[in-house]
Amino acid sequence: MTQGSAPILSVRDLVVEAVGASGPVRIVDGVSFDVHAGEVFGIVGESGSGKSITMLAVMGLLSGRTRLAGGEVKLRGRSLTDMSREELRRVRGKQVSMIFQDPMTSLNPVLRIGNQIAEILEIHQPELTRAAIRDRVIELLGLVGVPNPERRTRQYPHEFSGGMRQRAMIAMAIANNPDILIADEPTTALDVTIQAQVMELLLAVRTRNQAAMILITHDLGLVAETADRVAVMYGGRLMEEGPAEGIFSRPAHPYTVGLMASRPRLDAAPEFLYSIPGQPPSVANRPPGCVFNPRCALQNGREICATTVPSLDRVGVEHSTACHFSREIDGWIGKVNAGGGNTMQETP
Amino acid sequence: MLRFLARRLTQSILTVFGVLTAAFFLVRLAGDPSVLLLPVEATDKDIALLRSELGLDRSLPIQYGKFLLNVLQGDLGLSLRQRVPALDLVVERLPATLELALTAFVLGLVLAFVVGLIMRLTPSPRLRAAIMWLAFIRQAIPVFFFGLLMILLFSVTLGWLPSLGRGTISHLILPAVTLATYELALYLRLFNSALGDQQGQDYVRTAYAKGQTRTRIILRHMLPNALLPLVTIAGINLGMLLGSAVVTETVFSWPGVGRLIVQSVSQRDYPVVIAGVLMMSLVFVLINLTVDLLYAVLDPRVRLS
Amino acid sequence: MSTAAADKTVPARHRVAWLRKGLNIVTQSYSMMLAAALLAAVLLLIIIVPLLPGYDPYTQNLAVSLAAPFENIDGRTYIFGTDTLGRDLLSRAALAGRVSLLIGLSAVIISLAVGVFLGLVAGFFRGFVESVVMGLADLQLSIPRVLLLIAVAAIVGPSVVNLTVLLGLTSWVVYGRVARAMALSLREREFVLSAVTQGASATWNIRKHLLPNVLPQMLIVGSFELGQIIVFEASLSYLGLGIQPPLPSWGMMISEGQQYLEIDPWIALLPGIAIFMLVTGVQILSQAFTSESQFELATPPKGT
Repeated sequence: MTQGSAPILSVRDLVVEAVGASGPVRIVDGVSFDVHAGEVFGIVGESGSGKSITMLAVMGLLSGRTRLAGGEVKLRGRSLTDMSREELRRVRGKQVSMIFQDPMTSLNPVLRIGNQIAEILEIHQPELTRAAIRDRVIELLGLVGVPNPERRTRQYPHEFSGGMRQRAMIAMAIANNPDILIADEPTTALDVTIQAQVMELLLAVRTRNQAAMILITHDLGLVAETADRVAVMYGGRLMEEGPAEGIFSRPAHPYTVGLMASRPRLDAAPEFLYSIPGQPPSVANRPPGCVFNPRCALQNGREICATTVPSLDRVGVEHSTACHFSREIDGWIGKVNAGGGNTMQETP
Repeated sequence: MLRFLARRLTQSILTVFGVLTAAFFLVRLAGDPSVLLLPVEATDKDIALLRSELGLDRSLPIQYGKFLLNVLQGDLGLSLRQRVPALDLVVERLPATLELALTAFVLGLVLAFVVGLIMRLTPSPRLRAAIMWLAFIRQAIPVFFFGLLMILLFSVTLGWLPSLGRGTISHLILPAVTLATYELALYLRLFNSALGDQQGQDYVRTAYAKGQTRTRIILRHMLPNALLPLVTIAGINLGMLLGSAVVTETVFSWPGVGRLIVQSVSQRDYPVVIAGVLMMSLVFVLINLTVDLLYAVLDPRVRLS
Repeated sequence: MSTAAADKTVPARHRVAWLRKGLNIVTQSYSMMLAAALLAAVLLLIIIVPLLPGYDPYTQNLAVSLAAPFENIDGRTYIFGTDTLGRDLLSRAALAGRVSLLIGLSAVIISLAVGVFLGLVAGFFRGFVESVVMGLADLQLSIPRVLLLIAVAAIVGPSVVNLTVLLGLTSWVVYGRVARAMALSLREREFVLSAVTQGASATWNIRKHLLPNVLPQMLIVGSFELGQIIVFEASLSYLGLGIQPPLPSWGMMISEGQQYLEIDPWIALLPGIAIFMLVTGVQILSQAFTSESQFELATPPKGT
């Protein structure tokens, strides 16, 4: 990963609105981050945090009542948000591709797998002959570890197992050697025993293609293992962003701390499974000020948290956080650790 | 596929037996069947002959048995008017009814498909609304009245098409169109909601993520999936279609089984009535079976289970 | 039909609000107003005309036969014209409308009663009873309805009573299905709650709880079915197998008029337009009740 070089994907102040019963709602409220060539960038958050929508917005895949309402996205310096629909269409599947959560519903049930993979080749490499495409499809299926690829191209999605379907999706996604691979909860819908295999494949394939990968997940452990950089989202906003190692060793945001504390640990007796008290925020009714404030154990009733939205400030090398009192976190964690696992409720 | 076929076949056979049983009891509903099934001038010998043939002097199960046996041998009695086997008369008219019904069925689906596609691809919401309105109005007009309107317009006023009989293609047009447009409103609504359902599906999102164009996504991805419920409903509506065909045949004097049944009722030729109704039920069951097979062809999930 | 919506009980005062909502619906959109206008026109014909002087559906007068609508012939203006036997078409159409509506409404009530009864019984008792009822439904659906009507009418004879009962008996399935679905879902709840009171008490309870839930849905289905049944009756009469002379029926009038399409199309057109207006009006209004009541039933009042 080359720090300091220009990012391959640059997102600035992205705003996504959904039309609600009583006016537009900002599902994503001013998110900014950079992804560098060849790095694994994890976006972590609870469901409803806006992490998937952010990437769908980047790809121009927002549907129905959601729409891009602000901000700019640049791919290799070219603005995606300014592009026409046709230009953006040509970017999709070629320079940026996406893998979705549920491979069963993400594949067309009445078309053969081979045809569905071939489609992405036909769209972006129209000069290829049918024979060339067919060969390439078989090659791709083999690459992703599908046994007997030639026979499998003629099968339908329901004849594949869950893991194999996701492999087919991965094959589709890498077919045109994209610069960026977006994986939206790629293993969540799979059996636990398969998850590791598919994740391993995804990483191997990415490395081979030297593509950047944006991994969207709620699984902190996954991100800790695989990501180079991490962004933590909550309530449609970015809470913290930085190198994975830095975030996990020295988190700079109370939400991140809470997330890490709520992971069940195999090495400690789980007499108490911590979960951040309270409910995820309603994006239609964001509290004024910091969006995490109502559930924050660090705020200690301080007024600024309830009135002013914290800006994303640097706290380390390429490490930013959106918290008014991030400098207190080290000390706070120290107290918590000293006092035992279940004192997250304690305010400093 | 074979298992699916076997299962449907068994169901169909059971249905046919059910209908036969119902017919058996229906005839006995009005009292002594020999009154229905013999002409007025029947002699006592004729009556006795029929009674023994139908087993009317024996117990009910034996009567039923004889009835089934007779039916399976193709013996449904003699037409009271023409003294020929009732079944022969019906079979003679069958091709005409099939020609009309199948043409209308296919035409109906094709029309729904084409109009539905236009509705989906057109950018004009007014056109969409207009089409749905027209279809709705069409559906509120009884089949026979619509046929009459067709005749009034195309035969009487414009003189383009013949108003009755069967012979050339031009004879087929009016009756087939009358039948085919009846369910158009239903098909369109279904087709649209099926296509609409497809819109939100994940695989459509995948197709967009691949960079596919909107038109191709509709044609190549959404359409085949949307056809499935359409075919199902078309199959279910077959009942309406065949029933409407019976009426339509009378409107256009189309020489099919339906018209034969109606004429026979007014002539009190009950053996022909029963033979006709049984035959139409059989046709109905067979067409249903075919539609199910069609469904299996379209949906690989059914085919391979 | 959403069975989830049916899980909420509808108390009495809610039903009155229902009616008021109904009146609101009518004035809300253009199609509603159109439907109301169509229905009003037909009802005007059916109810008012027989009360006017000069109403006479039966007298034949060959001297004035085949008069056009509004034609002044022999000193009298026939608003709808006359038919081939010189009978006043306006009067005949009005009487035919009364008969059709009467048969239609009665048949709907019969099919509703039969359907709800069989459906509830099937859904509640399950097992053998359910199989029999559902089997009956399937069997009935395996013959096109018109054919069934023709066959049975042929054998038992097409009197007005016979027709009504027949139409009623052949239309029960759609109510039966919905009633059964509701019974199935509500049954679970009631059994859990009234585990102590078994036997007859539970049955009575079910009837008291199921029926109020089932009926509003049924009325909606029924209003749509009314249109269907009227069309079926007209079709039968058109074929000559329905309402018999001397009683006039729209279907038969159309059939008679078909022979004279070239000379006087109005004999056939007017009854057809009347059918269209009645059916359209009923169907549009029933659709309004559908969407409205789904909203109503889905949000039960507090304290239920």
